[in-house]
Amino acid sequence: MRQVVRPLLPVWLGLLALFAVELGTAFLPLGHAFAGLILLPAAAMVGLVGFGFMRLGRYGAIARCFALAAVFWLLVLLGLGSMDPFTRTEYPVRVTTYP
Amino acid sequence: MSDIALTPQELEASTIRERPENYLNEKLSLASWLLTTDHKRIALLYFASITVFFFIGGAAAALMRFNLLTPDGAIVSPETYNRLFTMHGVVMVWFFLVPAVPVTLGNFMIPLMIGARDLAFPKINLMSWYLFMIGGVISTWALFMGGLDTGWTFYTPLSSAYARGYVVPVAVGIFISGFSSIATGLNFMVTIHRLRAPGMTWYRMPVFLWSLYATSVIYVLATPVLAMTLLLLAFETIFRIGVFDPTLGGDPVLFQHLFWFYSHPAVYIMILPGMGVVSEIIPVFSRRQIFGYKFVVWCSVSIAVISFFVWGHHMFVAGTSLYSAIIFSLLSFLVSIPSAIKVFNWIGTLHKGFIRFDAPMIYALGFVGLFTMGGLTGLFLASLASDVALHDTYFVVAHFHYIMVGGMVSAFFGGLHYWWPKITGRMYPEMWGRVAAAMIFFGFNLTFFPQFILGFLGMPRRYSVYPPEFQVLNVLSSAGATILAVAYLMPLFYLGWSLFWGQRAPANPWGATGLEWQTQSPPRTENFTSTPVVTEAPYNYPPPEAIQREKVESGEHV
Ligand SMILES: [Cu+2]
Repeated sequence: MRQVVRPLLPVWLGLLALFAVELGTAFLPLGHAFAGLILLPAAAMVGLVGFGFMRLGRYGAIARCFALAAVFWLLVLLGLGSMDPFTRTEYPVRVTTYP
Repeated sequence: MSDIALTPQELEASTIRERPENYLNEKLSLASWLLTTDHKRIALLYFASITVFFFIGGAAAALMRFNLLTPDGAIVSPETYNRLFTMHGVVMVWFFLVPAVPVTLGNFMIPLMIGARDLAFPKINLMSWYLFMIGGVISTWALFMGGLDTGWTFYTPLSSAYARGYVVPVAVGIFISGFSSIATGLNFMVTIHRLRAPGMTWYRMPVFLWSLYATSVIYVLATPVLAMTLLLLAFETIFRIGVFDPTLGGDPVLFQHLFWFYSHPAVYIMILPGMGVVSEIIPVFSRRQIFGYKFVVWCSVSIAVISFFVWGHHMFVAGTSLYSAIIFSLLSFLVSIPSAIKVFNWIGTLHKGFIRFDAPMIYALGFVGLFTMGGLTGLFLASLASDVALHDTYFVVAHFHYIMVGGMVSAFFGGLHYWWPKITGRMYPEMWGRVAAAMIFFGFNLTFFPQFILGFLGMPRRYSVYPPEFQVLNVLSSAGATILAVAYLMPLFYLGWSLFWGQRAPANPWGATGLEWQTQSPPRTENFTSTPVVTEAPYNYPPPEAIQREKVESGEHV
């Protein structure tokens, strides 16, 4: 049990730290051009989950298949899901303009 | 009972000799049950819990049907009625249908069917049951304390800004039980990948395992989205963070997107295991190899995948864009293809078979018919034009009850009767089994067929009162619900009776193929005395000509 849990602890702490960074950026007065910056900690989280938690480098094809499936399903959710708000005629989504 | 499978030796062994040690009589203390890691005992713990939830949800339904006997509402106020249908939906969906077959029959059968000692993670399996119970108790406690009036779908902004009642506690209960789903799905997938007996290749696995695998994929990929959605809902309700509430800058339709991204695949969580059970029963009771094995199993997988692409069909009249509605309509039609292939394959299996109408088979045949009815009426709802008229009417209610109750609950009872001898070591009384199966079929149709007509005539769902011209059909429906209620109570009594006084079951009462029938009934704690080796494809029943010849030679009238 201990051998399983101990290597995962820093991964979990890392995820929490990145989460704190994400929350923090929400309060920074970043302009519109920098809005994409918020994706950086998210990408780091994905990396941590993939290589720290799932250890994709170490385990074989099946683990990688499942990791890819997760990404694929996320694309389905965001892709098919954004189809509606961006083409809606009643109550279209307001494009937020940053100060 | 089964007369083809019992050899005289087996019969003697099962009735005269005291039964050998098995998972039921090995240890008897309460702690040995509550702390067990045996998948078979955990399955029984789940059996007990979901039976309780089934009757709680059923009681709410009974009160609703009673209320609808008169146009102005027979017993309860509109407010109470709202809380009743919410309770019925929440309990039936999350605490009966979503777990039902996988955690009971699946939990019990997976290791037995692949020739393993237990699931891959026995302790996680026990933890899943505790999570399920904690979630279930929190939710039902909140529902009994006064509940909530949003319907099981928790639509915002009703749920976040206006609803009076226990929105957050019920959501917390569902959130916790979601972890049970995820852990169960993970456990099943790893078990099927890693613990198959020597020779048990993927294409030698029974169809039930394929469908549980597909279900597990949905458990693992969809449930987290529900968890996030409920968490956001709770955050908005408690901290007023604007996610869904338009007055706080949120988008209420976003809630529906996220909710149905889970809940439509969850429909397949509910029906895929039922399809698996039926695919086990039909070959056994028609003595035929399943028709188109590879089509059947890959259809399970493709149903699981496509189920994630169709959620927008719940929102055709919610103000979503026409473009997305057209695409979701098209994608929804896609799901009907693998479902239809399965139906044709079950019928193909029956063709030229030696069909026996034992109780499990009656349930399975009922499933095929009622599932087909439910599926075909789904096409009317997937079509944009007709859905605009039928949305939120009793047509929708009838449609999904044909799938969920006519389909899934029938399959659950079919599987329960089919594996009852294996699980308990006792035969159920066959005559009562057949009577109950027939009554469920009849009562079900009487309850829900009138609702198709009511919906077509325009009666909206979720109202406690209705115009007087709808009364005849509503009374018919309530009458059917009475028969259905009696039919659901019957197995409780005769199955309970059989636990003590039923005839002892031999190892393989149905003469079925499959590893689970090669070990004793009930199995010993470690399932098999030695690891079985698989050498042939599943459902390897003799060709019809051979059975014919055998019967002629033995002088039996054919
Ligand atoms: Cu749907």
